Amino acid sequence: MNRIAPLLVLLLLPGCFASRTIDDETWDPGLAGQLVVGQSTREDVLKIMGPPKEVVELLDSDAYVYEHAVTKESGLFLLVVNFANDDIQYDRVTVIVDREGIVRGVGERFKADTAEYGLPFGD
Amino acid sequence: MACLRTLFALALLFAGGCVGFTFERSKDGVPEPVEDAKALVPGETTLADALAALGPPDLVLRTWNRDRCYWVCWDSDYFKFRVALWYPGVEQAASRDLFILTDGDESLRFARLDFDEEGVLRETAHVETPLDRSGEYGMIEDAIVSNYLEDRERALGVRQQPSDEKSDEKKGKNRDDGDGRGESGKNGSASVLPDSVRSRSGARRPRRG
Repeated sequence: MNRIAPLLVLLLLPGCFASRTIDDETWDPGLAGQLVVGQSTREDVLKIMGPPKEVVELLDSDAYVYEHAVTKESGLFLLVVNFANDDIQYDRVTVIVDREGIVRGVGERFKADTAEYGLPFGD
Repeated sequence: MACLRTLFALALLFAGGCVGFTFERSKDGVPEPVEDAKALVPGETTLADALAALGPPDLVLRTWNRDRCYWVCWDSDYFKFRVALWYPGVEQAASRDLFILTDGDESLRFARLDFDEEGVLRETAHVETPLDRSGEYGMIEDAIVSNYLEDRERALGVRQQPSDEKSDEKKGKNRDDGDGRGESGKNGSASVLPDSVRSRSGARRPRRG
């Protein structure tokens, strides 16, 4: 068994890969907490959070969308049998700003760190 | 016997580039907001409440008379069998897929919330279906799922605007086509951001830590 294990490792390693893709920079989770619904202004949003990834025009407001995505991919190629797994998770903040420039809602979630490498088995 | 083993090993070695079984798993997003969205009450919950309770939506857009938000979690497992033909003797390696068998299942879960102009929740829709997938587009038969895919295409700017909307734009309106599906984002960005921050690549966001 002691002899077979290194051989197996040597055999399998060349067929392994793992990659991580990061889309945009993340930001301090406390930043969005500085925004106060009903008080903070559009200028506050831009000053605190920086430029958004996207601004979505809504009926009577705008949604400022901040997003940081992490994709972790891993795989194993064994000649005719291949295994691949990818997991994409996000840090995201959405700020609703009304036509008068006042913040009307803030939603935030930080899950980018939970993206995992793995193989397509189990949970 | 040794000859057979050698032949088997060689067959495996050569078949590797031509025949392949692939198991793939893909995970996108988290399911918690989709579950929590069931607790929201049409006529009472506001957009601000929803953002506070569920976090930011995965997709936000405007339809002709509603603001629409999606919270989405998408898991998929695939099994693929592929047979390819390699062309020898060409300058660059080339192959052609002769046969691909795909099977597996997807679990698409999302909550769709529609808000009126005052930001009050008016309509909800939930999709939580583990979808057995026997064909490439088997799941698109569901109308709500179909709507979601179209909304997503519009948000990404892939789907063209309908022709009747062009006349609206000429009139100075910036509304959707009235089919209940919206457009998103890009139209809004130019009007509300000062030049100094309009370009994402030009300005930097504060870094973590």
